[in-house]
Amino acid sequence: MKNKLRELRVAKEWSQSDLAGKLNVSRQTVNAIEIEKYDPSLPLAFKVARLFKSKIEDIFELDPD
Amino acid sequence: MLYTDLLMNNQPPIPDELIMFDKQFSWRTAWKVGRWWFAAMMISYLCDLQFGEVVKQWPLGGRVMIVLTEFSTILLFVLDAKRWIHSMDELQRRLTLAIFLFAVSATFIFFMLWLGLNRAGFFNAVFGPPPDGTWGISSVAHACLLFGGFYGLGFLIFKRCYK
Repeated sequence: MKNKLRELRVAKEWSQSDLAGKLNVSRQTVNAIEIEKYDPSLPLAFKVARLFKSKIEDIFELDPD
Repeated sequence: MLYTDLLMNNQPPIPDELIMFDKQFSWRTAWKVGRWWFAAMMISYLCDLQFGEVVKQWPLGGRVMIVLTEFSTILLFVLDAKRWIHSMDELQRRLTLAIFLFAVSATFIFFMLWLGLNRAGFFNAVFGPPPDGTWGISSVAHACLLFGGFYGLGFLIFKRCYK
């Protein structure tokens, strides 16, 4: 799954640790989501969307294949 | 209960905190999670290996008590580990459960393989008779040591999936 988490985080001038703290996850988890090695669960995706005041589908996009 | 120094930054624990040579290693977390594992290993090392011959002379009640103590401490370790894993975030929990499953399975398979080879006389044939009379490994200390080693190996394998 593709995502815009890094762009959104950088736009807010947050570090990965800052974002991890806001989402109550580890910095490694934020990194794994950003490099698209891990797809977050639905509750975490909702948390991310709520934090950035966006819709889930504006941040996460399903791979066409 | 606080399980990690990282929690002071409002971040949940990670499996790296138990890996001694990792930069995220935390003595505090390692002690909180592994203290009963260490206790079981030390009791078993002293009673089964170091002073095994002395303990064999003890009355049955004393020997049974040692075995029960070893397994009680293992149980306490499992409870501490469960609490630690429960306080993780979803990715780290998934990762740590995979590492634990790997470590437990690998320890079990190693034991089975070793016992099978020993029963078949493999070690005696290849390495000759052992100095202490048996090539068998059956103590909790061996199991704890193997589990610790396989945890490290599992960490290296599974961590790479998310880097």
